[in-house]
Amino acid sequence: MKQKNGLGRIVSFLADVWEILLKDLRLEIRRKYEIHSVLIFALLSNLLFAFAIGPSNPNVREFAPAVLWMSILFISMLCFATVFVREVDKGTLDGLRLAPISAQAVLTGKTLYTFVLMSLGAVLIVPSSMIILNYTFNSDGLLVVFVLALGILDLSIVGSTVSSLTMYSESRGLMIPSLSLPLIPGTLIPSILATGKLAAGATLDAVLPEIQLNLGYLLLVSAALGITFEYVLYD
Amino acid sequence: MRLSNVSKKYESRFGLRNVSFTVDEHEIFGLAGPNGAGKSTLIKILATLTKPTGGKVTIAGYDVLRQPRLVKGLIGVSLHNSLLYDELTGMENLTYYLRLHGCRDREEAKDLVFHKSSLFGIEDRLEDPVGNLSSGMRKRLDIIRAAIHNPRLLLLDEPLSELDSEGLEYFRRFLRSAREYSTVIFSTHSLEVVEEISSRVCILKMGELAELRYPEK
Repeated sequence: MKQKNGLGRIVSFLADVWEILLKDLRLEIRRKYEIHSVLIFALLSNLLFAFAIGPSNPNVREFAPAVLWMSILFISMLCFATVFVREVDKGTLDGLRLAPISAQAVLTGKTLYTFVLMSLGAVLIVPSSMIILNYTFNSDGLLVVFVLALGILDLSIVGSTVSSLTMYSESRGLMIPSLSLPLIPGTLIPSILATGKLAAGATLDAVLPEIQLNLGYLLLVSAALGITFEYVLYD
Repeated sequence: MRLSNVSKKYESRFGLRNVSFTVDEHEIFGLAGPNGAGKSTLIKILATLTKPTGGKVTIAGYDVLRQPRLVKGLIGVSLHNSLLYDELTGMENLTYYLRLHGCRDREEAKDLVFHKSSLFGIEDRLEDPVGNLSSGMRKRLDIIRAAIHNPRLLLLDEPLSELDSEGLEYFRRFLRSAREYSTVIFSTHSLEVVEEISSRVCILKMGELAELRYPEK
């Protein structure tokens, strides 16, 4: 039996999250085709946007953040579609439902898995976008990474929410983008604004409102999903 | 394990109707009956996967409806469909599930997996991806997965469905070992097998308990 005291619960929770994340990443590496499709799609969408706008466009610096986040959004849709659905389709979700672990551990593990997968796509998208559209971030590198990671984490939580709510639905191909639609602007708009400011050389103070918005959104969606996910998973 | 007037109603029909019985510790309890008799529904209720619409179920004193997480720590479940990941090896699958049950020591987990697998004669196939195994081998591995953490109650839904004669022999051996630490409840539509293996037999018909008896051996 697992430990029951406060610290033991936290350690046990983190260990469960780690096991789920590790298992999903291992599955992803073995399958290969899904990670490949994310990376190819990331590069392709980036290239298409870049050619549509053109590197010599005088407004490229204004378009670049939106282009960057549109590409990340597209790959996020690929990730959302698999996060829970694959477990349902293969029948392995019952393995998670039967394990003596909290629903929040399952959710956190799945959200982190989506985050890692999307971050891999972003690692390809960001530099290629900078090269193709010929722009740079004139701000602190760590701040850029933080803003991008926060935006991707927000998107991952939205994706986990939508994916979990639609996992039993036969029409989830339609449901995932439809339910994402009202949720995504809440995270995407501050991310685009912050990225635009960072490309222009902004400091932490200048992007603080957007960071606060994204953090607030992160907490809000996490809290809502944390409360409801137990019912989604078990009922 | 105690069931008191357990019912499960689907829109217009009963999957289970007022089923009551108790199962003692270390029993091997067989559930038999034709297709649609309610065997899988009963197993899923005991496994906390389906909620009964009436009655009460307790396992080791814990209420299945009110304390599902505590119950999950006590049970091991093998369903009709395998809960194994095809892309992972048998060892990876079993250690993953074992760790979710709280066994964090990797060496200890590996030793336990190897020991349990040897009971089913598949210790030399543990490094193969599950997707490469035959359906019979996969079934053996899934039964081991259910029992890997030495649960107090082992629930097996149609464990014999994919097993050949050799697999059935291993299953008998496995049950002898499992009953040392577990109570086993398994379902099958073969009355012959359930009579042979079980210490007590429950026959369900159309969701109702038709007969509860000791097997004629």
